[in-house]
Amino acid sequence: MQLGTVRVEFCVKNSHYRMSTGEPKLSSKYYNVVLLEAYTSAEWEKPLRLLSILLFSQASPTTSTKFGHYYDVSKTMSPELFQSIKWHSFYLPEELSLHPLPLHLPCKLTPTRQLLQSIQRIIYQEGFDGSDPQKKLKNILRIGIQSLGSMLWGDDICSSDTPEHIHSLTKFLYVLRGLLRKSLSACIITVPAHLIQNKAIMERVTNLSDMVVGLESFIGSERETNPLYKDYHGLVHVQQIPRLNSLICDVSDTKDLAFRLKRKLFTIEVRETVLFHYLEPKRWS
Amino acid sequence: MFTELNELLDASPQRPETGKFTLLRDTRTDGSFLVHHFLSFYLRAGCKVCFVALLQSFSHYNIVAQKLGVSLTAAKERGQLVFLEGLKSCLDLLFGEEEKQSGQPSPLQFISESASDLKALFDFVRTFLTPAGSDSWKGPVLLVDDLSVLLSLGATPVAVLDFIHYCRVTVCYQLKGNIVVLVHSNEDSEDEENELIVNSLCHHSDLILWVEGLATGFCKDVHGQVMHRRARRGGTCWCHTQRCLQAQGWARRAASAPWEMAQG
Repeated sequence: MQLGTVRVEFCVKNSHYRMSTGEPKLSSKYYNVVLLEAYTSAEWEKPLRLLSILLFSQASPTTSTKFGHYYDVSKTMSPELFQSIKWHSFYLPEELSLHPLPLHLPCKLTPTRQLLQSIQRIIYQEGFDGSDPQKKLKNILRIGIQSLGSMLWGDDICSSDTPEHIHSLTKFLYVLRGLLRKSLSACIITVPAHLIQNKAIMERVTNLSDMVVGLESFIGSERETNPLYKDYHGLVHVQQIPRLNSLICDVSDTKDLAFRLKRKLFTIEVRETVLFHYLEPKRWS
Repeated sequence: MFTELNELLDASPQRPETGKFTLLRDTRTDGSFLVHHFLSFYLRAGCKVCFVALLQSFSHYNIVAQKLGVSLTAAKERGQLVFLEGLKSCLDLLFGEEEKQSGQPSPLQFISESASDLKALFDFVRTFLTPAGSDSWKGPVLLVDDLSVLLSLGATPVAVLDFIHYCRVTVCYQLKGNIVVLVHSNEDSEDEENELIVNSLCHHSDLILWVEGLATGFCKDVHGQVMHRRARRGGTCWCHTQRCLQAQGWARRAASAPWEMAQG
């Protein structure tokens, strides 16, 4: 893996190119500035957490070919795995007591402000910004943030059409973008877009992100009973892909993607295949 | 830079225009390739360029510029290019040491809510584009990528329009330079503040380059179309010429529709 050229790719199982094992294969290289966001209904936070696990779990050298491959959503991660890797967490009540903000900073004290301070401190202390030449860089800092913009982070954009803190989320993303750009790190964020009333905020969030992926669940919609979608649980919308260090981005051929989530299998398929299979029997009946 | 675009606009680095405000607008696609075009164009033309880069890092623009035959690092070293890296300035403002903050005010100090206008940003632009005695550069150029980010950082639409107005007066009229600004817009956008800025700038632009993704959907060979609209102000008569061309491969499609508005 070449440092600084990191790209996250979703595996797409296309029936025209079905793999011999019949299992999805996830290839992963990482952008050092990937910011991946997804929005979905609350029921489908699970596949997004799953994506986070798949993309950012530590793979041991012996299982590098099966990186992020095996999972079971009914089970939690084993404590042994936690203890074997170096990780940092952010829990606001502890953060306030351990690392109070310097008084000279003019910004208001908010949870997201504390989170930025925490990320910046970890980047500096662990040497991910290359500031300490003595520290040998072995890996890339992977950051996962859940439900950004929700009331858990002290924002009111999910509870009001005219929120008081309308710029808090976008300012946070901009500063985070700056931190990622100047360090060897990547971040994946989930945003409950279905709760944000002000759609202008989501447009700005998209503009500030490198990669934007949406998961649209069929639950509660007319598609849930539509025979065209009977084999799938929702759609995958790749809204934006990174364009870093190049004039244009490499646009994928496939645009219509659907996903299916089972206890041990998460599949993304090209939706046009589904349409073809549905029409063919009718044509010849 | 793209020679086909220069032909369409009848522009040449040997004889850059003066006093022009160019608006780059993109819809359903990414129009930042035009920013790279104008950056390399004006550097080749020998103009002094102030680049307010709010969305990407310096290394990104430098790598792309090298593919277009221009070195931003060399331009900076010889004093031809002043590069404001918004991401870095923002980090310096929020995480910088107290001693550093007592010096020159940050161009983006409006983010920290100590000021509600963009005067510091304008002062930065004016300071570096006002010619010094030893300068041998041609007209100054202000390049902004992209203006929509200022709204995300807390600036009001009025503050953004004021900033652009002051820059136009100083750069275009007083210093006889040029301004190129990129904004994003969507047809069904709910971002009213952004649409207000876009519509206002459209009325004040001498040239609009509107990049759109194809309305018929995704196509592998053609990414979109570029529409160029030039406003010629001669007396009381306004003439708009409009041409479209395909972005990928630059195949020209005849869609010129000149019309004139009679004296109102």
